[in-house]
Amino acid sequence: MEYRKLAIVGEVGAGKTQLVKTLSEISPLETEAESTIDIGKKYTTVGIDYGRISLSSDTALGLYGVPGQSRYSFLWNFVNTSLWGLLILLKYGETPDYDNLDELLTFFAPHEQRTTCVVAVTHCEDAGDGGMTALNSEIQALLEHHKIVAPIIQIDPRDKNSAMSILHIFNAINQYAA
Amino acid sequence: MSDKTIPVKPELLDEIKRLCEENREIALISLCTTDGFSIKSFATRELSAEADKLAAMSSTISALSESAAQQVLKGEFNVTIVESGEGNMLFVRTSYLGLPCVVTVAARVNLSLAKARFATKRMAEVIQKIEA
Repeated sequence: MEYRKLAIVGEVGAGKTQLVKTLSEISPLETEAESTIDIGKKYTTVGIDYGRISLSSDTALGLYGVPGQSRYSFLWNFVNTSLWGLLILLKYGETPDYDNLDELLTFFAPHEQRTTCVVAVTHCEDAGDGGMTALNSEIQALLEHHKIVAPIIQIDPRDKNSAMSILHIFNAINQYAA
Repeated sequence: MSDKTIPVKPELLDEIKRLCEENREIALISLCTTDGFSIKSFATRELSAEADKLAAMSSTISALSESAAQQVLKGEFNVTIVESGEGNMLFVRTSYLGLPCVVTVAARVNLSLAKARFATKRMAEVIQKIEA
């Protein structure tokens, strides 16, 4: 059995835990704690969300959701080896923390590590075209600054088809790059 | 950072002071929320532990321990112990002013694990009784 790793990283409330739940074929390991500050939901991930999905009969993909806050960077170290893909989740509707995104891109360095990277925007069901275009431009500028070529897509982590579309994108990019 | 300040009560400071005075081999004491925000930490100069990183690690270890205990042992986690050649670290769940928290204690190898465990558990119990 060949084993691959997908790191899912992003800001609080972006949908990392939900995405692992939606994709995983096993009962996911969740490490959530009740939030002591107002983040718009009751629980927040403080460790690793882990799930697994079969890519083929002889290949499994480990799904590792890690918090995006820099104080949890020791967990970034933990997952940042031999990555099949890096998925960065951003939540639409709040001004993204571009400094944090910059820090994540610097740390994971997908351009240097030759890691396939995808940026997915969540919570954008009610987003207008103008808002999405503006957000995409900002993200694109930051990606270019880091010499990263990565698709920016919209997903709903609760929806199986939407979640699976991410894996198809990673698969397509990895096959093209091979 | 947290958008609210959790008060550091004199009773908490007294308890940290008492523990340090009773056990000279204790090199670090930290109290943080289970979602990884530091409330109060004390460390001797030989240990370089940033309070926010330590709080994040404590919350992660506590959450992983809780998951392991629930999914494997079907019970609640009590104490997590990290043993090293230089000493031991202990993580115990508690609550402080109604907030779920984690007490972290690091002790040099000269303090027996049993004593370190007793001291940490006792501290968690004292903190739980501190009133707002």
